[in-house]
Amino acid sequence: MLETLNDVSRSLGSFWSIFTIVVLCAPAAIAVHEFTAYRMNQYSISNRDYGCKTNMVNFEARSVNANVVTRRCVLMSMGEISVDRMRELIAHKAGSILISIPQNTSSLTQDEIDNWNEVEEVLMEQPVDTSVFFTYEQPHLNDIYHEVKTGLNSDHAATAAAALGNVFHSNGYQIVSYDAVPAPTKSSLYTVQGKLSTLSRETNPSIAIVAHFDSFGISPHLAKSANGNGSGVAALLEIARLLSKLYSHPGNAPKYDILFLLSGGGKLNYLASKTWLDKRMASDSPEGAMLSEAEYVLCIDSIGKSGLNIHVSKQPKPGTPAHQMLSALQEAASLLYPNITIQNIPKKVNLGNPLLAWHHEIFTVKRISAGTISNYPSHTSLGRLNSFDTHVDGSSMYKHTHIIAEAIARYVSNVSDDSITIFSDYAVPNGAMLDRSVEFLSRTNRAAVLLQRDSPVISFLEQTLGKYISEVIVSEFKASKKDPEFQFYDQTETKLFSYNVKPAVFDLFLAIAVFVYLGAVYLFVKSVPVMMTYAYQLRKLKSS
Amino acid sequence: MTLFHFGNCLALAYFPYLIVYKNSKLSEYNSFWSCVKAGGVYMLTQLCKMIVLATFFPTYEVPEGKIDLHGELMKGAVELFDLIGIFVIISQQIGRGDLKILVAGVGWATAELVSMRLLPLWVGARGIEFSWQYIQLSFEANISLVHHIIMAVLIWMWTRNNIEKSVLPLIISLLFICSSKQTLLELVGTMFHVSSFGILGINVIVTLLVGLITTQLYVNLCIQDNAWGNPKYH
Repeated sequence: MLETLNDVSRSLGSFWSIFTIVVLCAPAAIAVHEFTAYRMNQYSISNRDYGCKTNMVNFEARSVNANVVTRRCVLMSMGEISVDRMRELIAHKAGSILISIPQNTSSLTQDEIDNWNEVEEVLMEQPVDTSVFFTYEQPHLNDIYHEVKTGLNSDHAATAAAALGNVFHSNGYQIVSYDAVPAPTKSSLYTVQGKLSTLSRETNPSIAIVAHFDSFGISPHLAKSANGNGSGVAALLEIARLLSKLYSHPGNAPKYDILFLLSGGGKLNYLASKTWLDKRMASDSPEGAMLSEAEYVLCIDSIGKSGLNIHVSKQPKPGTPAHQMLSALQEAASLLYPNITIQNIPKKVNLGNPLLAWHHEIFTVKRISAGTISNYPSHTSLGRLNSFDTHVDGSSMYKHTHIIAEAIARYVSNVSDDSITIFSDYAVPNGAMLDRSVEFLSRTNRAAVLLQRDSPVISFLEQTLGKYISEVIVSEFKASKKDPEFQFYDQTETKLFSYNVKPAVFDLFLAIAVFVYLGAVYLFVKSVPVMMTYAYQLRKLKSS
Repeated sequence: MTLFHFGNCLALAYFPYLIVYKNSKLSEYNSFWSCVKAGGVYMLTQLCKMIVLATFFPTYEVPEGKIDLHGELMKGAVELFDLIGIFVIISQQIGRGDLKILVAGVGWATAELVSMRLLPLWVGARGIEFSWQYIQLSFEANISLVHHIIMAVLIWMWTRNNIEKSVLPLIISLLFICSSKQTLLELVGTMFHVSSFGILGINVIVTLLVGLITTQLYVNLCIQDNAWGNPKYH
């Protein structure tokens, strides 16, 4: 009996000591609320930094129109920020900006989207020292937001007395992140290529069809980029299918080889294509030769909305492949969908600007004839690089895909007869396939900074292209260590915690109140014997 | 909120105990270890209560908003063990009446403070997040000091032989109120959705009322004993 008691007490003792140690070392933080937030882009291209440079958050929350924003975390919803105010916030060195976006982005008006696009451009024009985060609207965050907006805080109290009153009633919120500093990641750029060859054995003339498949948005996790360039990728895959059908009849296979290239660094100045091209041409590989000898490179970039334009670097002269492609396109359009006219927009390459305007410019600077088909009339068109690119116009995309497929077929088959339509009846684009591809692409994360070799989108491209075309190769380019052409940073997704805090003066007042109370208790305790004697004497008097 | 806040709460909770200890007979008679022994009896009583609760009263799943009346009443019944514990201390303690009471009351309340309130304060009050509950917890410690002294007085009076028989039922009903005060407060709190400050206020009022009545009874008893007049008792 005594032994068991001994054992029990010993184990209890050890339990208590362990318990005490664990408790004493426990972090003194009880977060009531946490939410997932997505950081703004951070990357560099050719040693030039873009986006948000830091992810530090440990600031008190303030609303957008607060007087003091330095070293504070500014909470805002998407619709209530203007371009000027954003500039002010950055200039005043706000500690951190937290933007809440609606779950359902289709509820936004076009005005709101346009305004937001302008704000995004302000954010991206210079690298910012403020950590910028995006989060989906959620109830607790909304509560904090409203309290911070309507509540007074010590920054702008009317009088000293009001400030004192605020000390007890006000609810401050501290937003904190516990993540490490963003570090450069070892990410790579990817391209998926496939070659459709004719059967003839001599060297064949060739053309290339190019589309970039990565997405871009103000934050890597929020980028959907359905139109730019989900539509282009879906179109390329459908065109590959149709052309492979055309090539499957040995009798009338066209004489051209066709190279399909899907590149993963489109929004980063088309870096993947450029790297691919440089490496292939340097290594003298057959594809490199094929490309440098290509008659024409057609880039497809955003064809999911109405309007169709072909952008070139110089006006095509008659008799050149560029002119031939232009006529093929215009013939195809007039044959299939007479309502659609294709605008030819020449624009010289601006070598002074570090960022290229269109995909084809990568090729034209290497003296390869190229052009880009896009529904946007200008490379600076609003909405081309925005984060809310979530929908495409299915019928426009279908028609544009059909036109482009028909034009390429006419080009490679050397057909200019107005009475023939190559892709008609059975051999037409599959609208359901197009829609499904775009839908898959827009809900799959394709931001260049997050892509890995086993990312779903790369597998999808590899498999789908592989169904129609042999020789599908996935290439990976890592940035060179000494002089990286591109650099990505991690910490793109984080958890933020919000704590309810009281101002520091509150502690002081509480201490004073406790001190006064203790004084009263002391006096009371001291007076107890005296009071008891008094009560006793009173009773004694009454009873006697 | 911060370490400073923790210090505030600790001061609010603990200093009254220190003040009572230093300025009463406890320090005169150097009864520190008696208080520690009283604390030990408290721990034992809590252990017994937990075992009884676990063995005989299984917990039922209570849906949100409703009260498990049966369960709460059972838990309240187990609180009577407290009375037994204090009775044990008082009967073990050697000394005069008021010393016994003080040892029992202060020792018991200190043990409760250390075991039930210190840990939440340490873990919670130091965090960044602010909540009024820690100040409330510390103030409750004060109330419980008064409450346990009152309980000790009542039990001591009950053990005396020379009280009037008419007063006995009053003492027993006051004891009953004391031991079930916690349960009743929780019930009232959930049924009428009173805020935590409201419950604190009700707690203060109830304890004050019971305290006043008890003081009256105690003074009467002392007069009967002729305790105050007797120079030996001072």
